[in-house]
Amino acid sequence: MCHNVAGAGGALTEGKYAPNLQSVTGKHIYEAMVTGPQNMPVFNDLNLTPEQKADIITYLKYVQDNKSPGGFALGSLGPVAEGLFIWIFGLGAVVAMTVWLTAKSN
Amino acid sequence: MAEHDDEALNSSSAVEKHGTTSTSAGTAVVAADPFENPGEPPHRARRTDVDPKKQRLAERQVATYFYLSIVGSVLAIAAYIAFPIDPEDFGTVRTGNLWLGLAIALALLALGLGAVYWSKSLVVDREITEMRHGTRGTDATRAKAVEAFQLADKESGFSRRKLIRNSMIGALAAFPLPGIVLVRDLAPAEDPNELLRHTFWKSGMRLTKDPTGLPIKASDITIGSVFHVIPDGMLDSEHMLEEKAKASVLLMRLDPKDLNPSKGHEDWGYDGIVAYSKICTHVGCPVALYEQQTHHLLCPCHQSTFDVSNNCEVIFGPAARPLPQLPIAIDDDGYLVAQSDFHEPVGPSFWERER
Repeated sequence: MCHNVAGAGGALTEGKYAPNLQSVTGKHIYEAMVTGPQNMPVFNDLNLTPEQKADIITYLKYVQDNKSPGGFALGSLGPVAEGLFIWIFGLGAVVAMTVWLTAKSN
Repeated sequence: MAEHDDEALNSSSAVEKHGTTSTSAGTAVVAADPFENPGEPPHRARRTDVDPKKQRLAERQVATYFYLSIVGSVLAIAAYIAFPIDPEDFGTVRTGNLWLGLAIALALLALGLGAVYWSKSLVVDREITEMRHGTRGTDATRAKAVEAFQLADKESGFSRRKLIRNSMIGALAAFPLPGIVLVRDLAPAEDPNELLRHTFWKSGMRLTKDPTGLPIKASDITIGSVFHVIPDGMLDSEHMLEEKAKASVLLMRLDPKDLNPSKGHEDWGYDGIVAYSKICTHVGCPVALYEQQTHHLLCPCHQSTFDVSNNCEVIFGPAARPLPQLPIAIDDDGYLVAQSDFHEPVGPSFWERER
């Protein structure tokens, strides 16, 4: 939840953030879960077993290797990024088309 | 009823020829107006009307648009054949949809653009003004309408035959009633307030890990850990998801020096281990973004921030109340158990909630 469902990163309180996990090695991810760096909580082996940790890393690697089937994922940041894209480019194109449609020829 | 209000217009058709500047007053109040209606701006000839070369160019442009549309249609068929969907590879869905979509879009867009450009640049450029009529009909039309209703009333005998009229009104009034009863019964039979006041947690119930359901020993939890917790036995319950939506709990261990329990809550934790409801008191999202150094608990939906070291009081964001705390204790085998259910309803406020 802190790093987002695709590991794309997320915001925390007061300017902190959970970083993007796309380019992080499996070893690094495992270490982070066990030690709890900075504000990340600790997930010891009695909370998430080593097999469960390995499952998580497998999932992150899968998301990394397999492109989003929907096309350009806009950073996998979710509805806010997608909304921004549509409002600016999509609606901009619609407005431009409307203006052209009703403008007098030359 | 669709005929135009001919008597009110100067011209004989609804379309006025360009050049006349007088407009009919219709039913508008004509005031002594210092501003004269300037009329339409002078007609400006288009480039395509003045220059025959430009006209041929415009023709070729329109034809190009239509040729593009043909290309788009052909490409769509080609894309459908060239990029089939492979059930093993999700990437083929992306590629297939992309090219199919682009080709169909090209076909339709080029068709539309060609048609619009044709009409703008080549179709005859007569300018038309359509007058806006007043909405009130003429007195003659209104009288005719009244007459029609009166005739219908006389011939059907609606207002004369009171028995028929009253019984029909009664039938129409009664008809929606079964619909209302059926739709109302779609809601749960139990009083929603009672459902919201209690969760699955009971005295002595073990705290277990989400999603496996394995119990948690107090010694398993190190400082800075966070455990997602569900009640023991909830996974086999009849309405598991509804129960989980109320009973989810977040378990954290802090250094006891950092904890400031409020009066009466001192023994609700165990040696720095505290359990709070995961359901945000704002709109009900699961609050699980725990920062172990600052002891802040952040809700991702609307950024309500709760301070775990101070009984999860709200330090930022739209939540109105702190997260309810689940009183916990340790049983003889060292496993964490709940002392009782939450002492207040979890989740967002509702009308009958005391606070």
